Amino acid sequence: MPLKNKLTLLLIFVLLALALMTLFWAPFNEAIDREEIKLGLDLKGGAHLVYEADFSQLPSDTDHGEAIKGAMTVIENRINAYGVSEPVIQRMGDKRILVQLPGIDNIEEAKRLIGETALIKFMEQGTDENGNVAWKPATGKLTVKNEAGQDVEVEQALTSQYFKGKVELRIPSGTNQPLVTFDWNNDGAKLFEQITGRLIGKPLGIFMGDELVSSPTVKSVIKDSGVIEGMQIGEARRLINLLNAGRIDVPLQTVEEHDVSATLGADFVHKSKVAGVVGTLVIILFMILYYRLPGVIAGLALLIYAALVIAAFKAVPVTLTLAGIAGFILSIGMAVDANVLIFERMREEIRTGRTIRASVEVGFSRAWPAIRDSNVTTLITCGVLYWMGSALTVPSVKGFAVTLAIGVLISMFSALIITKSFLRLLGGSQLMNNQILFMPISKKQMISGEER
Amino acid sequence: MINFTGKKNWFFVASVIPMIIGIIFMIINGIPWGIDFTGGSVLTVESVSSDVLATRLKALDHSEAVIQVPGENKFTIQTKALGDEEKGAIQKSLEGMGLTVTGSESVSDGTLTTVELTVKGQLSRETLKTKLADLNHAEATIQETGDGKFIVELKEIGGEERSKVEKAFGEMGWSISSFDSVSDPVAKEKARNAIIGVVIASIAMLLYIWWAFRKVSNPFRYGTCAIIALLHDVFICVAFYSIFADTLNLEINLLFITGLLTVIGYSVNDTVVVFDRVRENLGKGTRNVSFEDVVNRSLTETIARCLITVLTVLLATVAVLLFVGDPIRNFIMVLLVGVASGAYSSIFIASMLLVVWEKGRMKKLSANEAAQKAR
Repeated sequence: MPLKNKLTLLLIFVLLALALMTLFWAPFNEAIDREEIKLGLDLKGGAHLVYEADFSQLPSDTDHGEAIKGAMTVIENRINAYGVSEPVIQRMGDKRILVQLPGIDNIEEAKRLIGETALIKFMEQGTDENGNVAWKPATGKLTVKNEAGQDVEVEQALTSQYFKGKVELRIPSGTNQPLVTFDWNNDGAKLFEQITGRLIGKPLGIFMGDELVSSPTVKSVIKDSGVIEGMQIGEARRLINLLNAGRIDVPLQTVEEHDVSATLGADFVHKSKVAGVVGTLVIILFMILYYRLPGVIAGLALLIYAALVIAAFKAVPVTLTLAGIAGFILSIGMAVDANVLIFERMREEIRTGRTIRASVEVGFSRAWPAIRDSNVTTLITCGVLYWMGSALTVPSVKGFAVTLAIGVLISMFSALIITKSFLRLLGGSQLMNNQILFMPISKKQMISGEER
Repeated sequence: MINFTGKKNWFFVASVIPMIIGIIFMIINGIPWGIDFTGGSVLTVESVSSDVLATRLKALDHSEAVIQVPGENKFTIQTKALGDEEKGAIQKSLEGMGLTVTGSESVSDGTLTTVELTVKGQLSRETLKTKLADLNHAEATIQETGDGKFIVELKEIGGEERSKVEKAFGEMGWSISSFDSVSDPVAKEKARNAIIGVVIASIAMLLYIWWAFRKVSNPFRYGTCAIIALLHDVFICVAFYSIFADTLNLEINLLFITGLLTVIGYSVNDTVVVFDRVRENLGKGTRNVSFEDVVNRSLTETIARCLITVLTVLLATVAVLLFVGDPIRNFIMVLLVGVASGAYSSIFIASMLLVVWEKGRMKKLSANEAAQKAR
């Protein structure tokens, strides 16, 4: 056997071993932090939270519908940043928001994440009425137009409201001290210039809510951008997620919180497993009956396909809903398509009088352009949908694109590489001389004694 | 070799008829949007208990009411002394909940109203589901909360419909303890964005096919025909859902959209496989063979593969239908219809359109030749 074939077999073996470890070996799962396959609300249930918006403190001309919509978008962004997919976020009545998060064990953490009004405040030191040193908001003057259209100066406190674009995390090499970097918008830059100018040699307090995060000493006048240091890495990540998800402008209160069961009832996980096993076995049986020896090998490749895909779902991780599982089962039906193409080609070649061994090789190479082009078009769809899904915030479309792409790539691997190397393994054996193992022998062939 | 191209007009007609029927249904009944898009109602359902009654009476300004449970399915409500009007209001409200008011008498320090439940149906996911199906709300989803209540989401109901459900539940000994309308204000936006995504994906696929078929003449036509076949399949799916919305209890929701995305991938995939054979056969030297014959030969050679692929997908679908079934019918049906339509359109729409288009060109060519000869 040539070295290349040996290497291919080794690759298949390693991938399969990795997949089986991901699926069944608990210590390995703990090591990669993937204890179980994530299941959606319909299969597993999760946390059910209802928030109520408090419009009393907002200006009376606030558009309630828009405010709720804005808050929903921010909640959705935060949930996505947290890595929970397939949530339910709905407007309930006029001023409430219903949020359901699949598979959340820690309802407190979920609440904290959604409800927190992420605001970074910048403070300077002053004295309170008792003469003690205390933090007070660092302010600066901004020129704004008043109602009459005249320019007036107003005193404004500096907060993360004046950030521009995305906040980023940097870890300078050689340290494990995370830095959160940000840019100021025009007003922010004006304020920051005045404040840092005033505070040279003095500390600037950076607060998250009421908690002091760090208090660096100002060394020079800074205008456009800034850095927050002194945070733990986890804390810094959370802060960034919150800031980048946007601000919730309306105060939200939790009015209801409890765990909910799966939408569909518990037994559907089991039912879908049965459907998957039965579906796979029926397809394998069909392949064996119709394609004989190659069918057996395609069946084997299909089992490996299934194991690889489920392992990939677990590793990514993909949140599986019932529809996702059904889609996966259907993909098993579609995954044999490449094999069907190849085997049909093989039969055509055998019919034209080639030896079986040659037909196997020709079958693969002739079927390749069709398999390549058809799968590339599907992958293009996946790519566009993934991109659109992120750009237009349709997470379910993004999730779908990932699932489909995993299926397509692994099915190509299974049909082309696995089936081919297994068939080649048989290459030297007598099996490859027996046409009855590959296709029915036509009458014409029998009469002319062409049986090979 | 089977002569497919000879019957091409029949194939077009076979596609257009269901489309026309679909359009008629869409005009008459509208597109059957699901809760995801139209919004719906969310109810919390719990067994009638003294707490439930207390809440209800509080809403009627009787927070002083003392509720006791003298026997199974029986409640007594002691309030301050009530006039006839007030008694009537309480009675009406309780009966609106589907409860039977068996008596109302004056006692020394107030009025005692006795309430009985007709039947006490066990409140469980199954009984709730059955009852909802009886009330024509098979679309409802049910979730159980940790404390034995049920959250039900169903189509938007209001006014009369709501009273009807409340009464029917009350007769089972269940009460609706909260009722809200829910909607995703951006659901339609999301669906629209998904459609934009599909349009861009179609253009990208067209460009790829154009490039992949660059060795044959007019590669652009192959891409275009594949995309037309794709649109054909999308339209057939929507038409099918419009026609059978009531009969098969189908609706166009986010699951349908997901299913449709799968169909789109499959449809182009299938068309490319067929076109690939045309490409290969054209490359074999076809000086004296007409384009129609090349297509016919290619289709004859690939039809077995097309049928077998549809069959294997069908086998998987049937397994899902049998063992999982109802909850994802909206997803499974679009895949069933879409895959069948995808296979059909690759052979009978995409390839035939290609023939019509190429033939148009050939006619033009021969007309030019004739004109030149005449000169």
